[in-house]
Amino acid sequence: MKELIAKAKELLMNKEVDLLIGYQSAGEKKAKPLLIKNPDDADKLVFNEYCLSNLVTYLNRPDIKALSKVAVVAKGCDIRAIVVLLSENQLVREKIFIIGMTCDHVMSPDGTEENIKCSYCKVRNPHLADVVIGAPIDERISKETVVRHEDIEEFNKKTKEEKWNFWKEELSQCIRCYACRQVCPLCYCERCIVDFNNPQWIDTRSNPRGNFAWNIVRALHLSGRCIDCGECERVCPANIPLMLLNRSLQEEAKDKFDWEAGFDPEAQPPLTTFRKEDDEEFIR
Amino acid sequence: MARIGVFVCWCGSNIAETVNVSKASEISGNIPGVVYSVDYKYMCSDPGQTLLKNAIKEHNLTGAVVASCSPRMHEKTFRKAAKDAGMNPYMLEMANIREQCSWVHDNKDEGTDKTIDLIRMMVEKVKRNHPLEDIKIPVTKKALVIGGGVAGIQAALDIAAGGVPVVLVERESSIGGKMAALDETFPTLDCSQCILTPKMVEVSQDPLIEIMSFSEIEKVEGYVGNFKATIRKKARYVDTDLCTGCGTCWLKCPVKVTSEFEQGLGKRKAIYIPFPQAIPSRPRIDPENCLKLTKDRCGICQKVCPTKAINYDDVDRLVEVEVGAIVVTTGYKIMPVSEFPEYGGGRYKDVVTALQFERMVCASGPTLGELQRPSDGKLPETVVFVKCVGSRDPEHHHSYCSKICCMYVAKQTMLYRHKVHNGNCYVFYIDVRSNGKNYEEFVRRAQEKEGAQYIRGRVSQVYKDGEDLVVEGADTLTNSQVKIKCDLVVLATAMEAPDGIKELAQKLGISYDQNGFLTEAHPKLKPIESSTAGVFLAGCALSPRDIPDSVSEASGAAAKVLGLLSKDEMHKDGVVAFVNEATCVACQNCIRVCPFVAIQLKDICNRKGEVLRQVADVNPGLCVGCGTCTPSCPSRSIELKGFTDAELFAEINALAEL
Repeated sequence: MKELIAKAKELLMNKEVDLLIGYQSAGEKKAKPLLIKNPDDADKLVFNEYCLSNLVTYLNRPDIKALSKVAVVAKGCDIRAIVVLLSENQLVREKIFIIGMTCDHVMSPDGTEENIKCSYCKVRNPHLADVVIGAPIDERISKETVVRHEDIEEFNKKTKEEKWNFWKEELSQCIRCYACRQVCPLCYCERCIVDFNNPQWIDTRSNPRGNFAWNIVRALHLSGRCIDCGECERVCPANIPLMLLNRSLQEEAKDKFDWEAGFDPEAQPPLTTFRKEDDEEFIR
Repeated sequence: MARIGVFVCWCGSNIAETVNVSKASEISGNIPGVVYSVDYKYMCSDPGQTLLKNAIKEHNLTGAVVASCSPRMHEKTFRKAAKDAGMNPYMLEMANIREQCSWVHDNKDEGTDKTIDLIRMMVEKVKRNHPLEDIKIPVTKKALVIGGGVAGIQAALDIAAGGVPVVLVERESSIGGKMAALDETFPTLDCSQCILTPKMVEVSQDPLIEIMSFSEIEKVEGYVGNFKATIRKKARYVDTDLCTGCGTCWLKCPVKVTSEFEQGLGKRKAIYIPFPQAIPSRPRIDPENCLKLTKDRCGICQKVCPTKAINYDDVDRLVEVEVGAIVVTTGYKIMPVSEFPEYGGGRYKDVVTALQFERMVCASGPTLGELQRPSDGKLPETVVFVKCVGSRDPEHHHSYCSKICCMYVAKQTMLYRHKVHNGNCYVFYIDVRSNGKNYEEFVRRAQEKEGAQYIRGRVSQVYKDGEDLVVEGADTLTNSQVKIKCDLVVLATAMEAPDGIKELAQKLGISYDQNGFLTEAHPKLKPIESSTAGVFLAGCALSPRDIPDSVSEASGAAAKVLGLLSKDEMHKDGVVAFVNEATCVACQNCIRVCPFVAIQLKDICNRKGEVLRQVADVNPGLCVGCGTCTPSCPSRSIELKGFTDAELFAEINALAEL
């Protein structure tokens, strides 16, 4: 913590960055975002296993983009979002200062157990950072490991009809607050498809048709891109298991294209590239 | 207010039999916005088009829906008629009630209902259509011909004759292609080289034709009228400008290598021209066999060259040419005998391909026309020709017919008998296909006057009995097995798509079939157009063809090129993608998916010229309106003119609301 505060002060004091985004305490076993410009405020900074928020999402804000340089406190999982944003031309690497935090795990949102996403984390040590804070941590799984999610395997045992009924039930609870979109670091469109009203492709009312359309479109827009931060599911007031959708699409991307998002900013995402040597004839 | 006219076509009985056209027209008249509706027997006929034109003028129509066949068939016709009547052509849409309705249904009531739905959909779309303008693009008046065989030569000559400069690219070190290796040609028995070499010389002397030999296509960018081709001029190690083709180098070169041009039957040097009439008559060094380049020894050619043209440090060079049109005449290759071990191919030297036989009898061949069998140089007294080797054999090789074998085998039997008057020659055949001018007469002459003995049936095996080869096969006309002892077996092996054709097709953005032959845009009506505008095809690149077919296609392709390049600017369909710059976030999805490289990033600057942000930007000249970009955009910020979301949504909604 001391190291983090010292670095933050140094960055702000020397005017190396205009803004620093980190975490502050929000009571026992809780943390919340902290956006500071004054070096004196750096003392409020904390970093612990309750720092769940993916702060990268702030980097998409137009007022923050307009600043000349911004520092962000980021865990390996958060940095994967930065990598995707870099590859999608949304961030300028020189304009962000990544304070990478080594991180063994964070807790589940209710603070009772280790967050499920940490069990298959491959980036306990930041893979892209300007400074790394914290002692190196042993990775539990190697980069090459193909992660299989038990909940998805279990879910896939259901029949088509059972799956349909499951999602009908779950999505019927969506209140269309769009918290999932707002918190997602990769939902950066200035005008979301759901706000496109000429024509209104997606019904904006909270009804089964609109809820299905919205949640499925969002999942598809994240396919091959989602970096598994789990923020959408965490903030969902209706407790919809959104990561079940997102993770199964991640597995598809891994199986079909040997692709995991958020590791290499130079790599071309599979769903928007075509190779002339593709197996499929139609592409030529 | 929209004032839309609906025109329901009967297409004779094609539509009228399954659709109550008068009812469809009557009900269409009640769709809000429709001010005029009519049905007519043939909308595409002259009176039909006049009906459309008059209605546009009389009823002051703002839009029109023609319910008839597929837009692929007549959209152009009707849009042109609408334009003539003073309406923006893109305000006319077609409802396909033939291919998508009458032809696939038989219940007249349901067919009529569906027709009305289809019309309703298009009326709703037309209401939201915007007038579009054609896009004008400048044209580069220069052509690229890829492949310097007889087809490429003919295409280059004809294009140049029309006053358009041509770049002729040939992979080998000389133009001439396969035809240069042939002895005599059917059905007239004129000497192949005697008729080809004057054309080769003509190419080399034409000031409008630039030959790039020993060169290959590296990359092709751009679009019809405006291609930019990058050509790899492979290292030749000889400066073709300094070289005079005197021949001292290849006379003195100590390395002898098997000659590709002689089909492996003769030798060449490590510095060589493939054949004496080569154009350009400039040698190249074969770096795999040259002693200087492999072991840094020798260097004789450099020493003896009087013009100092030898450069051992030569490297590949890339040159860019800008052209308006491309003709692909990449020819073919033939299957080697080694693919047919059952016929002794690869095992017995005296089992040869037909192309090898050409070299064996050719006056300029390795034996100067003296027929000798490869194994021991003996004059073959009995020769067996086997046709359909690898062709018409879907179980093992190719299902297609190689087309020319029937004719050249007849020719080769004559060439053989002209050399060996008492020789025996047998031909195993499945059918004799001789459907060309004077072709049937030619085969009859081989059979009846020149002593070729035709046996209808397939050969099962070829084996050796002492010095002799034995061909065993069926004679299906006498229903018996035959064994023929012979000295030489000639296999008429299948013609195949040449190496590298798929890669080239991908560079050009044109399609090819399962055999690797290039695909024409339409098998009957666009036989020499490719699927990409401005790229034309001729000769064996398409499928097996003989010389007259290849040459006439090449002339056809040249006519297409000249037609295309005769205008100063081209008009292109106004259906192109456009970007909503207010909402684009420059994620580059559209840029990555665009197969035509038509989208780039553009800076949005403030008044001081500072870059505020970037957005995608479509080059309408490059865009072909394929629509690949539109679904890739997560925020619906790129759309296709003429197919905007609002237009398509209205179309779908018209159906869904009912």
